[in-house]
Amino acid sequence: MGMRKKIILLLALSLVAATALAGQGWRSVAVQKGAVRLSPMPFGKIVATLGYGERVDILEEQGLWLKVREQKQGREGWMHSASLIAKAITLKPGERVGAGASEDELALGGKGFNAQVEAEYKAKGKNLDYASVDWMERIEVSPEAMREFLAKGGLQNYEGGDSHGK
Amino acid sequence: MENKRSLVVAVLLSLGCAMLVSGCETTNVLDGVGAIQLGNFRLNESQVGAIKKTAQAMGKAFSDVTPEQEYYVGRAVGATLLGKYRPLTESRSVQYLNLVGQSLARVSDMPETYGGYHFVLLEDEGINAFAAPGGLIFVSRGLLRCCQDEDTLAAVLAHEIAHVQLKHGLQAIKTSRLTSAFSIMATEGVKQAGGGQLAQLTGIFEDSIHDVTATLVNNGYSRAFEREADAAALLMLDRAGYDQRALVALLGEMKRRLNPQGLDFAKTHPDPADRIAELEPLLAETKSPSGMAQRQQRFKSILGSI
Repeated sequence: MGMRKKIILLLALSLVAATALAGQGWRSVAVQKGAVRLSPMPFGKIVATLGYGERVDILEEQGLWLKVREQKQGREGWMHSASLIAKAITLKPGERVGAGASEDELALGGKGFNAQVEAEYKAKGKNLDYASVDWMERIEVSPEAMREFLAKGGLQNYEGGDSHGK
Repeated sequence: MENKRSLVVAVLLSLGCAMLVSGCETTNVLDGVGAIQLGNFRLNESQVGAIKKTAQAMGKAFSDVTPEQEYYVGRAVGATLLGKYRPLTESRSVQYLNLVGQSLARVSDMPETYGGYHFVLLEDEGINAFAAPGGLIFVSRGLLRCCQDEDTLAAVLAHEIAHVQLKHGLQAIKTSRLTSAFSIMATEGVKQAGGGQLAQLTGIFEDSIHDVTATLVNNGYSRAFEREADAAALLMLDRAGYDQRALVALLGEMKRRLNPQGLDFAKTHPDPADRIAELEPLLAETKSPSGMAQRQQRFKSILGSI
């Protein structure tokens, strides 16, 4: 590669890096129950739980973890970057566009495959067991049960201290 | 001059692709970029615009499926699987299975999903495990019988979590279906269209679910996807404190038990012996993780009779 091309490549790279960094001010929560933790650790104490589409400002980055401040109440903590998305989510589940809105508007507002599409699919479909899916989704593991499970099994418990950093 | 300009375009496009693959928004990266001056080479606004459009078109694929949409796809795949196989609902085993699963999911590169990870055992004597997009994970009784201890069960779950994390299920959906769905979603002014748009979306949804379940149940993923999932599973096992060798042990046991003509893992997965050969170089240096005996004991006491 010639010197000139190298320079162009470097310039292009730094340009993209710079614009990417400039866009790192905030993120939307991409999960229904976004855990905000005291420390950037998989089992860190949960200090807040944020809903889908809520926005947070990015304060600090540590590997895959981001220190955030929620825009609504200003609470701070650490979230895993995989639970956040760098785009606006305009309609939360359950939110309605307005009384006069047609079915279609809601489908579009909620962006494509949503609860309404599921209802249609369910009505048409055979041998679909959504009741068992709902049951499955209700299975929860409490932080206390998890702590005990990890301790008794001699497994890693990243509750605080140094990052698992892999 | 022309060559160099196309080089610049190529560099920008490939960076755009890289950003897409890494899950970033290409359009965000290029947002706010009007004209670009690189040394003596200048891309005017319309050229930059063209690059943005190309990047957007490339983005209309599985990576543009929102977490919420992925969740509904996963629920439908789950409803299909649970319509075929009954779940085991005994509460102690359900809780235990989910503790093992969560201890791994939390240390994965995607610890949370829209609807969260949930694990269930299926009344199925075949050797099967399925991961629906979004984190619903299913393990057959037949596969559980291949597990000698908690670490082996953890290896099964880690491999399935990896398929979720790497979005392998979503990638089974034909791109043409997603393109149609995105174009319907992009249509403006459909207020008066009655249920037409909804019916269309539902049709595409149905076909997409079929793509995913057919891949999970009948066709299997590509060898490359299985290799990726095995490698990610090893990382998860190591981080959680489980024995990585449990994955090798599991594959060995499957090799012994699989009926080569079977309609289960035998049909949908590469030969376990080949997978073992590919895993060996990835194993961390031999160390025996602590707590094996305690884990084996609780595994036997809770799942031994299932």
